Amino acid sequence: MPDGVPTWEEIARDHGRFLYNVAYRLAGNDADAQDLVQEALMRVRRGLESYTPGSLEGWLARIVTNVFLDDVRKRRRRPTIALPEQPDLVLPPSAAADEVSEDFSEEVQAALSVLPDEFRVAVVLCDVVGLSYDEISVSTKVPVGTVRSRIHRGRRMLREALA
Amino acid sequence: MIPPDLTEEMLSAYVDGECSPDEIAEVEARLASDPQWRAILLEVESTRSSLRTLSRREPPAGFVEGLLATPLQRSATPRRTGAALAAIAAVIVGVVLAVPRDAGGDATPAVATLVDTHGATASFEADPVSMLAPIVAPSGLEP
Repeated sequence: MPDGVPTWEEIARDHGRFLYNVAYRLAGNDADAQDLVQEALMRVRRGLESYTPGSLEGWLARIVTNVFLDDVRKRRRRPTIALPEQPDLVLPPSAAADEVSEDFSEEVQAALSVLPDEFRVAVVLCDVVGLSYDEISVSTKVPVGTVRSRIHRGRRMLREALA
Repeated sequence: MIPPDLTEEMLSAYVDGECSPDEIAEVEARLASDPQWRAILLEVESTRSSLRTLSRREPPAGFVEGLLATPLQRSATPRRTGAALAAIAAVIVGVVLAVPRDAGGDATPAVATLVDTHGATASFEADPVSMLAPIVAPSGLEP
C-alpha cells in the first residue's frame, strides 16, 4: 500500500466507530446503520487503490453517505408501506449516567430521523461530519446553492421539531 | 427588504463561514442595526450547536471486532438477510426433528433419505418453501 494510505483493516479498526456514528445519524436505527457500514467498507476496499491521502474521515463519510443515498433510491423504486412513526421503538431507552444529555441527544436524533432524506444528508455532513458546503456539493452532486438551502431548511425543521 | 426565509438562509451560511464577502458585510451591518436579525442568529446558532454537540453514537459491543473478524464477501450479506437465512434453516431443522425417523417403516422413502435429497438439491437462491422435499402422507389418507 502506498505511503499515507491506510490498509482496509486499519480503516475498519480505527474508523469503524466513526463510520457507524455517521451511518446511525443518517439511518436512524442500529440495524440499518450496521448494514450501511458493512457495505461502505466493501466500497472502501474496492476504492483504496484510488484513494489519495487527504481527509480520510471526509472520504469515508462521503462513501457511507453514497451507500445511504443508493439505498434511499432503491427504496423509492420499490415503495413500501411506511410504518407509523414510533421513535420509542427505534431508539433504545437511555441507560447512560448523564441521562438528561442522553435524552436530549435522542430527541435531536428523533427529529433528525424525520427530516426528508436530502435535508438530513446535508445537515449530517455539515454538522456531524464537519464538511464544507463545497465538499457536500461534490459528495451529493448538487449545486452549492442547493446545499446551502437544504442545510438551512433542515435546521429550521429541526428547530421546529425540538421547540 | 430581504425575504425572511432568505434572511435565515444567509444567517445559517454566515454561522458556517460560507458567506461571500459581500454577504458577510450585509449580515454584519444588519446584525448591528436590527434586533430581529440578532434573535434569528441566536436561534440558528442554537440549532447548529445542538447538532454539533451530539455525542458520538457508539456501535454495539463487538461490532468493530466483528468487522475485522469476518472477511467481507464480494456481495455483502446484510444482517437482515442473514437473519432470514437463519430462520429458513431453523424451519428446516424443525421439520426434520418433528418427523420421527423410525416410524415403523410405513413412510417411504425414509425420512433420512428425504433430508439428504433436500440437502443436496435445495438452494437459498430458490423459493425455500417449494424446494422442501415432500413428506409422504400415510397411505390411509390417499384417495
